[in-house]
Amino acid sequence: MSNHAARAASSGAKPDRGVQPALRSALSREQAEGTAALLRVVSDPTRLQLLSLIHHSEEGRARVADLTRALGLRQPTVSHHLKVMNEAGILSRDPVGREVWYAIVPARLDAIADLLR
Amino acid sequence: MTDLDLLAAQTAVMAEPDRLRLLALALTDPSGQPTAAQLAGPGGPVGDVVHHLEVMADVWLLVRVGDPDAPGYRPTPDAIVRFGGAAIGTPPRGAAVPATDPGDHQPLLDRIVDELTDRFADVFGRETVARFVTESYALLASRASVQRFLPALTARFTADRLTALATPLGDGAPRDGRLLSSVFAAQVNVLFVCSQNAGRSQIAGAVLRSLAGDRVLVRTAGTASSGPLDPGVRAELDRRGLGGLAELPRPLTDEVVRASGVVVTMGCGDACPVLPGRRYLDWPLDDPAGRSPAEVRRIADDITERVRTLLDELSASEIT
Repeated sequence: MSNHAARAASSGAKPDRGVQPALRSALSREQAEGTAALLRVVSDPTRLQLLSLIHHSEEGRARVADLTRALGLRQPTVSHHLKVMNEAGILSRDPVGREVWYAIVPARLDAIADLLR
Repeated sequence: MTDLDLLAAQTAVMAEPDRLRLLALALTDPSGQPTAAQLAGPGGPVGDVVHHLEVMADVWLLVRVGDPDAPGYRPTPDAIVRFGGAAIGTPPRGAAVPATDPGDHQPLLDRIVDELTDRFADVFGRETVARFVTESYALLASRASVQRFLPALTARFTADRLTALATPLGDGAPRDGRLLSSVFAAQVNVLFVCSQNAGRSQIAGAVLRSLAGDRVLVRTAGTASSGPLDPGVRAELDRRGLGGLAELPRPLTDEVVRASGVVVTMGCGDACPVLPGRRYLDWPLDDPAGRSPAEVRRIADDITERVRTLLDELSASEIT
């Protein structure tokens, strides 16, 4: 974090010094950094579309082939995005026979569902 | 900029801890539209704060209000719905907010419920408004250092949350292209909820299915679903040729609410979970259970009229 950003953050952490804000920041630095990391990974139109398709699918899960067909993208592209979101702890990966099902990790579901309005 | 591009841009802007914390402060500020100087605090890095706020305003997460030289920044519905939960720490579903004894504030909170119930008539039932007021109060009380502002803060915070839930996102945002819902999913998902899923929600579901075909995915559920379809309702649906469009009564789950874009409640009080990002409608309707055929017919006519209006609105805005 740059010095500028650090100073901005520390001012955010002590709003009670201000004349107006009657509240402490609702968000700790650790929480804010965790949420920011999640948003950074999904801040891409294709990834948002993939998450939306998975979220709105019948059982909340989908296969690579379903997603590739729905988006009209190449399979390696879709697989790459899914891999990144899996490694970031956003998607779970569940091999069933020769197929792999992807679903949104329950702990991330609220944050993702809010985004996908 | 399409909705999808705008969402991606908003997400990228908010992928920054300082901005998340600034949004949290703006959402809980007593005025609802703090200036950069107020957010920075005395001697704080106003320049940095202004920069963050302007970046957020560029992607329609904040709007500038008041004095152009020292504007206040007010969170938009996009900011409240999409990032409010992450910023303010709205509790996850199912996790109860610790109970807070409002003490002297109770009469004020009751008045707030009255006012907001009036303001959101036809959208949210009184029980839902009351639950949001209680929950917002508890959330704020656990964080407030100055208790005396709590009722005013609660009123504003609750109104913001309800407005955000009731408002289609991006209202007024400069944009073109397709709506997010049509980019993401060809269908609009509508959920009808009543208490038993044996009468009102079944009629509404059958009527919407018959009118919209597969343009709209219709679900129905009951908060206290227990028995079969009401015989009088079954007979009326058969008379209208809609008997085949009813379904087995089923209980309401969080998942079905989560999967729906539009949630219509019909006399199920506050038992229907209210989640961000869905459009809510509350239709005050008589329960047809055990009524005479003429009364069931009148109720079915009322429901049909409301469903037609809803479909017109959806056709105008969401179905491409």
